[in-house]
Amino acid sequence: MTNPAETLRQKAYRLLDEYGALHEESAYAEAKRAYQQLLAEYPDDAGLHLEYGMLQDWHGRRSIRAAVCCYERAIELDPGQDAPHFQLTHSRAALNETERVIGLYKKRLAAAPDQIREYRFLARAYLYAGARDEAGKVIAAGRKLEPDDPTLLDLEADLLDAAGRREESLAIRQTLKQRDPEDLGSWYMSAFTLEAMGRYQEATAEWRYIISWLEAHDNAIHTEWPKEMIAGIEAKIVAADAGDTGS
Amino acid sequence: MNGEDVASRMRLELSALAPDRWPAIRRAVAARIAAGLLAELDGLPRPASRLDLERQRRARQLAHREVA
Repeated sequence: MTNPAETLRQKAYRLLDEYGALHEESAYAEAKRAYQQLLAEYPDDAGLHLEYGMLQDWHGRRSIRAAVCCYERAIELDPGQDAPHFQLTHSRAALNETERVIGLYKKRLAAAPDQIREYRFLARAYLYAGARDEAGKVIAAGRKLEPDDPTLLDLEADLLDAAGRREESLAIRQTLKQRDPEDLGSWYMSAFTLEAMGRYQEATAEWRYIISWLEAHDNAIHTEWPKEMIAGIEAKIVAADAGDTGS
Repeated sequence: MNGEDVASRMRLELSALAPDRWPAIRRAVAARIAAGLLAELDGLPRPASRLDLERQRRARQLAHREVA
């Protein structure tokens, strides 16, 4: 029962508590409105920011869990599609539940050892779990079966990048780019790696290639992010130049 | 020529010389590769199980949050 003399702050907290316990969307929506109103009034209240963050966190996790159910159903309905498996691994990782996909894909690999996609799924599950040694073993085993599999090579590049072996990672990306210039994945990943290495001009060149490809393929709507990335890199170049001149 | 090159060449030659038998050979090879891999993975400690961490995280938040 609600207290008629309840303040907005008390109401927000009560709704947060209710949402945490019962997960009702109506409580979430009402709590969100209450916290937004309170934050507009008290923007420097750390407690409010904490509670509003918790509300968003709980709601976001529930949304990701709902996405997991969708991917699992998509896999049931259309077992030949790879995309829901990749999404499932991604979402499970966001929920810190990589053990579940690792277990799932180990079973699937045992049941279909000649299917290269099963090595890809398991390698990715280990990679997202941060289990680099295991991911490396799965990639190596898969490549015994299909030495040139582009997805396993791509995962190997991810693995090398995660291990700090960036030049080797870039070399694999270069091979993949030459093999399939229409697959932008390697350009995106190279851009991240080059930026992390401080090779800003080269990273910018990768983003420019992505933009030109997207524009040439009537996908200009997706050029916004690459443009933001270039702006971010240019800001780093300016900062680095300013540092060089001591200004 | 290293071991990988030899295996790759043998694979190409086998698939060309015995195309009717290649699928069965490939299945047998794959079964051995996967069995070895899975045995190796099962022999390693599991990556830190995070299933319980999710519940712990929630319990901790509920236990420690301050009343507004």
